[in-house]
Amino acid sequence: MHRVIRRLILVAAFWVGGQDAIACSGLGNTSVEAIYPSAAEIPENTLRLYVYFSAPIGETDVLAHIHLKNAAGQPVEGAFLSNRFDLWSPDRRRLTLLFDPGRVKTGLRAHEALGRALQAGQSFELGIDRALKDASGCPLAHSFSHTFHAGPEDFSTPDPALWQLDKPAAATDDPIEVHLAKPLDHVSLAYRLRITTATGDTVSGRIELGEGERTWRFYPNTPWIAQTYRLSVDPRLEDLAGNRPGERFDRLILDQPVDFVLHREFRIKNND
Amino acid sequence: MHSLRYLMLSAATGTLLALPAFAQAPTSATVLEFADASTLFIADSQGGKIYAYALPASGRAPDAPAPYNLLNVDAVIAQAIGAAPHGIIYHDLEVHPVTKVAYVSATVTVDGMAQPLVASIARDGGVTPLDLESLQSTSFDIVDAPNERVTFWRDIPAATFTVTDLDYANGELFVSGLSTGEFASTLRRVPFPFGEGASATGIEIYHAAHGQTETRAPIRAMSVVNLAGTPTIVAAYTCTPLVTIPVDALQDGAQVSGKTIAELGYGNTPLEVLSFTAYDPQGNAQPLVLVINREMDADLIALPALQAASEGAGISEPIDYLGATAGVKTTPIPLAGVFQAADQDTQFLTTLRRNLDTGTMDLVSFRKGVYLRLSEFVSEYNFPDYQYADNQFAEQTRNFQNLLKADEGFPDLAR
Repeated sequence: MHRVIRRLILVAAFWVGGQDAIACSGLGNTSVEAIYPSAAEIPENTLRLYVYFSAPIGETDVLAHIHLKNAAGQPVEGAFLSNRFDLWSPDRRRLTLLFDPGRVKTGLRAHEALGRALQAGQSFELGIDRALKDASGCPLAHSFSHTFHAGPEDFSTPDPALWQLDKPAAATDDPIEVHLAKPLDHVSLAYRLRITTATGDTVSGRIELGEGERTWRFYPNTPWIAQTYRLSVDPRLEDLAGNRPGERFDRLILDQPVDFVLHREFRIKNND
Repeated sequence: MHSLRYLMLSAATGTLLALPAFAQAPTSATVLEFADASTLFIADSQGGKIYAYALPASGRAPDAPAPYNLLNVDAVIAQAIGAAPHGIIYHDLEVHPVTKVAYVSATVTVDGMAQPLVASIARDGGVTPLDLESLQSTSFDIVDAPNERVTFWRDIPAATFTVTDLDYANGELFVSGLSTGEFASTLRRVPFPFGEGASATGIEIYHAAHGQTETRAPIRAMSVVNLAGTPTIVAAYTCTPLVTIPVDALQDGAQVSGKTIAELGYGNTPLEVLSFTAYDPQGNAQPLVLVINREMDADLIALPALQAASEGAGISEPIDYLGATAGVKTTPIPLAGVFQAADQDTQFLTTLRRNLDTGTMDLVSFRKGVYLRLSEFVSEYNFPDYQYADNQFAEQTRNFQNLLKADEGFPDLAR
C-alpha cells in the first residue's frame, strides 16, 4: 500500500514537474508533530528519541539535518548512532534516533573516552533543519527545536508491583489509570501492556498516556464487567534507558537479582 | 466537484489494480546475501521482510579470476538507470557465487523519489537492474503483526526491525538487526526455503572494563565460520567488541551469552565481518576473518587465532581503555574508505569504496594478501629512470608490481 502511495505521488509529481527533477511538488507544510520522550527531563542514559512527522519523509541522509546542541549552543558531535539505514517506521513518519550505545553503556571504551552525549544537569536542544525534505521533495514548513534537560542516569528497573492502579467501576467505560512510578518508553507502553481477562483474552480498547509517559490509561471498547482482570506486562517492556523488569540495561554479572512481577490482577466492582 | 469525484474514483481504481503487482515488491532493498547461484536474499528493512528472489539463469564462471576496476561507479549506475549520481545511497555488495559478478543494493533517487535498486554490475560497467516487481520471490516477515484489538492515542507504528546483516550457512539464514522498540541483539535463525521453524534468540555479550558486565547490544555485522567443526557466529557489535556464539546455542526464546574475544576500539562502527580464504605464494590456504570498520583500519584475523581465542576464557579482566585493543591479535589493513566487501574468488576481494580523493564510490577489487592498489601510490618505482636492481628480490618486486599493474588495468606500464 505504501508503495502504491509513493507511486501515486511519483506520478502526480511527474505530471506537475514534467521532465525536470522534482524540487517540491506538494505544499511544503510537513512539520514535526511530536517528540518522545515528552518529559522536560530525561535520564542522561536515555537510549532513544522519537520524532513524529505529519507526513512521510523522503530524505535519505536524515542525520545531516538533525543537530543536538548543548546549552551554550555548541553541537554535540557523534551523539546518535549513524546506521547504514535510518530507523524509520514503515510509513516513514516516525524516526527513531538512537543515542550511540557505546557511549551510553558503562564499561565500554567509547563511554570511557567520549562520555555520554547527554550530561546530567545540563540542557540540550534537538534541532531539525527546515531543509529536511518530505516524500514529495518539499522542505519542512519550518525548522523545529525541542529543548530538554538531562537528569541523573537511571539504572532502576521498571517494577509493575510498584505501580498504582486507579480502577473504574463496573458497567462504565471509564479508564483504568496506571501510575507507572517513572516514565517508560512510549512504544513499549503502546505494545507491551495489555488488559486481559481471567481466561487470557485481550480486552479491546484504547490506550492513552499521561504527561511525560508516567501514566497509562486504558479505555475499554465495551463497559467493564464486575470480575477479575489482569494487567499483563511483556518482559520486553523498557524504560527510557532500556531497563526491563528485573533486568538493567547495563548490569554487573554479580548484581543481585531484582524482584519483579509481570502481571497485576485487579477486581472491577459494581458501584455500591 | 464533478471532476474531483472523477479524480478520486480513478485514484481508487488505480490503487486496486496496482495492489497485486506491488504486493511482492520490497519497499527498500538493503542487505544482500546469496544462498546459491539462483537465489538472492534481499532484506527490506522498511517493509519488515526478507525476500528470496529466484534469479534468472546465470552465466558461466569466468575463465580466470579478474578484478573490478570501476572508479566512480556512481556515474555508471546513474547513467544506466537515469538517477542523480549524488542521489545513490549504497547499502550492500555481494558477489555472485558462480559468475563472480558484483551485485549492489542501493536507494536511488529517480525523478526526485527514493526507490530501491538491486543491480548486477559487470566488470565492463554494464549495469543490469533486477526487476524486483516481476521476478519470482518468496518472503519472510521479520516483524510480528500487531494485535489490532487495541488502539492508541496517536498513530504509533510498531517497533521496526532494521536488518543489519544476513548470513546464509547450511540451509539457514541468520538475521541480525536493530529494533526501534527493544534494545537487544535478537538473532533470528530462519530455515530456507521459508516456512515454519524460524527461531529468535536474545544474545547478551560479555565485556570488560570497569568490572564484569553483560549487556544487550545490537549486532552490526556477522559471519558464520567453522571453528574446529563447530559452526559459529562471529559478530561485531556497534561498540566494537568481537564476539563468538556457537550456532547450536541459538534456540528459540533462549538467552545466551556471547564470548567477547576482542575489543577492536572505541568510536568505531564495524561495517562488515567477512570470512574468506587467501593463498600464500606456496599455494597454502590461509583461512581469515576480516572486520571492516568505518572509522579505523580493517582488522585481519587468522582463523586459527580466532579459534584459539574462542576456545579460551574470552576477555574477562578489566582493560585499560586507553590501550589500543584487547583480545585476539589482529593485523591492521589499510582499506581506507572501503565500506562493503565481498569474497570474490581465490585471488580477490571486491569492495565498494568511497574514494578519499574524489568522494565518488568505486567498485574495485583488492588482491588478497596485498590489500592495496599499487596505482594509487606514487613511489620511486614510478620514475622513468628507475632501474630494478639485478638481484632476486628486485626481480620478485618487479614481477609482483607488474601483476598488480595488470590487475588494476595498466598492463602497458609493466616493466
